[in-house]
Amino acid sequence: MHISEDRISHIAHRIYDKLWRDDLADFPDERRALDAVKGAIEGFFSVMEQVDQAVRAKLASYSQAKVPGSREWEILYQKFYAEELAKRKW
Amino acid sequence: MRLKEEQIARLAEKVLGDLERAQLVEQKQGRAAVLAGIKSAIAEDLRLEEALERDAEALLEQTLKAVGGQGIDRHKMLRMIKEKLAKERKIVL
Repeated sequence: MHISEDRISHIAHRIYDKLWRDDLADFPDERRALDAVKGAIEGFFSVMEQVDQAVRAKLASYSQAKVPGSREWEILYQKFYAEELAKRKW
Repeated sequence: MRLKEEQIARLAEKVLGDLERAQLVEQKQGRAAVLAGIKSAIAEDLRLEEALERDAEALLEQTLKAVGGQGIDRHKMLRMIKEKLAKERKIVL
């Protein structure tokens, strides 16, 4: 799942604005807090990307390879995806 | 970008966890409220993105019907419509 830097920054600002506007949180250092939120989003999608690639590689090497996008492929994708997340303790 | 509810929850947990570890957040109404706020901000933005995509598809169909659709690069036109809508709605894709 690809996500652009601009999109990451946009979502980070939405989160920051929401917490501040709704008086849910204060940030002693605005710039560093925003950078931390961006970093967290980037890290999250980086792991998602790694998991996706690992699952696709596993599916491609599967002895009874399924057609990508088919129902069987989707079912196996979800199964392997959950396994891969569990392996990474996610 | 599509995220399931559990993925949104996981992302929200990571955002808040990272802020807490770096001591960059003072939670004024408790952790659960902050976490709910983060989830809601992410979910709302994804809803806006999905609405934009639906509207862009509908606009594309209308345009293709109106002009006959011959010789038009569907993919390119869809991208142009999305960019226009995103600018109007102040959404970054």
